[in-house]
Amino acid sequence: MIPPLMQVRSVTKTFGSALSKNQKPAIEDFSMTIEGDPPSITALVGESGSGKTTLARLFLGLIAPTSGEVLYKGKSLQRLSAAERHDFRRDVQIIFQDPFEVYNPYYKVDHLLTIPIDKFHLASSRRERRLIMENVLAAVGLNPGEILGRYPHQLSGGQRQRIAIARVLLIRPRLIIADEPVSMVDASLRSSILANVQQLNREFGISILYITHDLATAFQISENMVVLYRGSVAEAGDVELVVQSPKHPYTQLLIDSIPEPDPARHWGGEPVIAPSFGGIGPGHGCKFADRCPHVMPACRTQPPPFFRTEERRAVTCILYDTAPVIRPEDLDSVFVPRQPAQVG
Amino acid sequence: MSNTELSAGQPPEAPEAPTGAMRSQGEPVTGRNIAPQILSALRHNTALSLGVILLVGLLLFSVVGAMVYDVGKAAPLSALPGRPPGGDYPLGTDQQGRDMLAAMIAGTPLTLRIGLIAGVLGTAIGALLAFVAGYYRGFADTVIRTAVDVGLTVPGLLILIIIAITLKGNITVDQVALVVASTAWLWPARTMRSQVLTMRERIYVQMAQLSGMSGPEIIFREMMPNLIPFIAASLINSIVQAVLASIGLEALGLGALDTPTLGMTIYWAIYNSALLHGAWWVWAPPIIAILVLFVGLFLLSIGLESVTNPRLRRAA
Amino acid sequence: MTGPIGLGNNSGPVLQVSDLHVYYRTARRIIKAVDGVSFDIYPGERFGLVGESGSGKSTIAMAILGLIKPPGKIESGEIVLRGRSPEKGGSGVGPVPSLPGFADISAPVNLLTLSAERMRQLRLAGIALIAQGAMNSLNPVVRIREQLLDGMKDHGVRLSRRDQEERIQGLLESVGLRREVAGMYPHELSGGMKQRAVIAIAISLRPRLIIADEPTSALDVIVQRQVMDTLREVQERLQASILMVGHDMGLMAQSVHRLGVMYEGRLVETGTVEQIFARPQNSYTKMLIASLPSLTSKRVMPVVHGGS
Repeated sequence: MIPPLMQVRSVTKTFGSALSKNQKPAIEDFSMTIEGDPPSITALVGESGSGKTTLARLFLGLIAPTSGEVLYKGKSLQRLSAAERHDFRRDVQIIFQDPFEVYNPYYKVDHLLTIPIDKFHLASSRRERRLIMENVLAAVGLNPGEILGRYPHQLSGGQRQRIAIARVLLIRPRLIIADEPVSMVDASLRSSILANVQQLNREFGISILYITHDLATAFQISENMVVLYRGSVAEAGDVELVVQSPKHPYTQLLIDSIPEPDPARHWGGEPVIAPSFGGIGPGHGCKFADRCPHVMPACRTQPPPFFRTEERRAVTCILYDTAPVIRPEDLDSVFVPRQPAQVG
Repeated sequence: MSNTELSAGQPPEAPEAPTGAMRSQGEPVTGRNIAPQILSALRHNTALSLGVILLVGLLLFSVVGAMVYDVGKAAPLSALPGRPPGGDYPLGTDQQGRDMLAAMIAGTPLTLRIGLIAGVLGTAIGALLAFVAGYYRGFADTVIRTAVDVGLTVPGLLILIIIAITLKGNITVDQVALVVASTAWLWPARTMRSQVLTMRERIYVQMAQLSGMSGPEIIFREMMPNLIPFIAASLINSIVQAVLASIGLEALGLGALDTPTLGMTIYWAIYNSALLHGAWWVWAPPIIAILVLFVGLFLLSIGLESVTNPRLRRAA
Repeated sequence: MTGPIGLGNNSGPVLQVSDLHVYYRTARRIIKAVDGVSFDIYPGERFGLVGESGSGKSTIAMAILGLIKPPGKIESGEIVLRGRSPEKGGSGVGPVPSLPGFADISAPVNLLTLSAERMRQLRLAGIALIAQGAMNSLNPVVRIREQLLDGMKDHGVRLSRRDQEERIQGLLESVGLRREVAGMYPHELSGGMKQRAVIAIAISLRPRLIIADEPTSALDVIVQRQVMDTLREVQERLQASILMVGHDMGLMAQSVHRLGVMYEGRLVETGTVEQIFARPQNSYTKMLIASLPSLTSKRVMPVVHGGS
């Protein structure tokens, strides 16, 4: 059996030295599987402190988990051989949040594209290299004549982010981690750049892990969503279900707090309870307990399990304890399966 | 947008090129465009131009001087001893019959050379160690860092004296340079290591890693070019320190005894009690030459700092 | 949403910006950051200026506060502020300090004609600023209590120790912070709490006009809502007006009464939020509204091919 492309198993990451007691984990007992085929788009949604950035870095092997494993094709990232690591870099890529920082200011923007072409041996001559660059730039809606030969500071944020997408397209990975790809881009450009991201999935068959705090954009381009709160999953499943009929009180609060561009529909009704100072340590129950309008004594004694309330949704809230329980490792079973894509 | 406007008088991003990112516009200073910027800076930057003028002046003095004056007279017993300035000896002679003007013309480039060799060596070695320590971290970093910290705590001159004394026999100017270089790498290693540590966290370095670039490649192709302004400043600093250290050594008599380096000239001035004899023309010229050299190098480093630090540049 | 309140003896707008031009002149070119902008803000009203980066919205805020520095310069125009008579009060934040130098602050004054010193006196007392990333402008080594008092002391407010405490507690309460916060340092507070502390500082002298420049841009969505609720409460209680500058159309829809859309230094559309969102007139406004991702239906996103 072919192992899945990437698998995260019961991963916990705690920052800080052993000297500091009561260190709260940034991400706790998280499990997820990403298949390369059929290509999917999954959103990891959370506010600051949710652990989503930590997860991104764990997926990319930039940091190692405190416990649990991150597996690429069944092998732990820490134990890949040099050749396997090279394959990993080829298969899993990233689009960063900051469209400026990804560029080395010393070089022209071409550098961002030429390096992977050289390292992954994608062209056999300079002319071919140039051709490939022009093609991918055009594919993301850029005019190569206006882009190649320029320095990063000479281009706009939208252009720079598109080039980063072109770079990913060039490499043709099987999975892209998109970490807030449009949060530092002007609002008017966001949907078109997200369209490019979606194109990577639809036209080129690449799976996407879309990490963001913006529920609306996550809703627009993803099929599945995982809502994180303070390092744990609050709710996960089909994005339509999660967004349009949220079950977890945190998800409800989150969606309620999104300002709608419609003055008639006023911001949510329920009062917001601010999070307490210091927060709670691990193993003390549901992390949302101190802010939850429906909190019960049982919430504080142990963390709630995953309740599968519908075929395509799971919630970690004992309000739904009549639903069947699933194990954290089986979280992916609630995700919408995709038909194998016609790779274009 | 607000951030850029709130900082003193910077114009907002041009409306025709919205960037979304809150970043101040303007060409960043990198190694690539430092040459044209230095040229334009020379026009506007008084510190830089003055520094360059002084240093070039010293060089010209030595080169032209060697062509018109007989530098052989810098050796002892080439002239009547103890003569004050005037007549045949424009700068007078010292107690051992050295023509002071000849000594200045011959000695200045020698001292410069020591500074240059030791400074370049020190910066190069320091940079290499800094990159290895800063990028790879781990054991190599611990070893290098400890060595640097220990080395910097011990008084540098002391180390140099010990080394110089150990090398018995007649020492040449180049050997003096090497002795000085043996400690000249410590400070550059430390300062550049912190730069490397910061730069290592930059996203473009992570991008290079994710593109499959190897460590040495990342060091030389991604990080080094952006450190060129810093390395340049570090180099000048090293040169200054090297000249200072060499003069210190020589004034104690541990230099190349038969050469008229500025430090040795001072040594002989002390040896022959020029101060007591009132022979100001023996101890003043080398000191003035050293002053000019230092002021020139200092102005150069201030000037370069203006070039490499954009904030200072705009205020200028 | 409560509408703007008309105050008895202060008819007319609190702030009137007329034909404002702010240019930045560099060696190479002139950037017209603000190119002929006019708008009014009425007592008790929340007015929004929305636009993308480079639109000039923040420049206007800086111009009102007299914070434009060279190479920026206010080329022409008027910014007229109408003060509030001292006896008018709201409750909860203590008596209004008199503004030295402004004998009758209910008379309109053109801010652009004021000297630097008088402008300084006006800041915080007449017009307060909640800047972008304001939480980072809290002094990290000074407790919140001192920072609250600083502004007041600077404007010559002298209170007894007990009155000071009372005033501080009142301010903290009005922004929903617990009394213990007064003795804390900024790093002990969360992002939302810091921003509310900044709001407390901004209202400490009961300004007539509060300028909020992207006050929630660094905050999470839930915290943003709390902070905006707080801002709205204090504003209504103070009967002050707010000029809110931002780029988030959704936030504007939920927060302000009237809105001005900025594009490349010009105000391309103004109106109530109801008008603008229901029937946008200008094409740029339409584009801004259309670019907002919806939470209710998935729309097919167009992919741009080829050219820019």
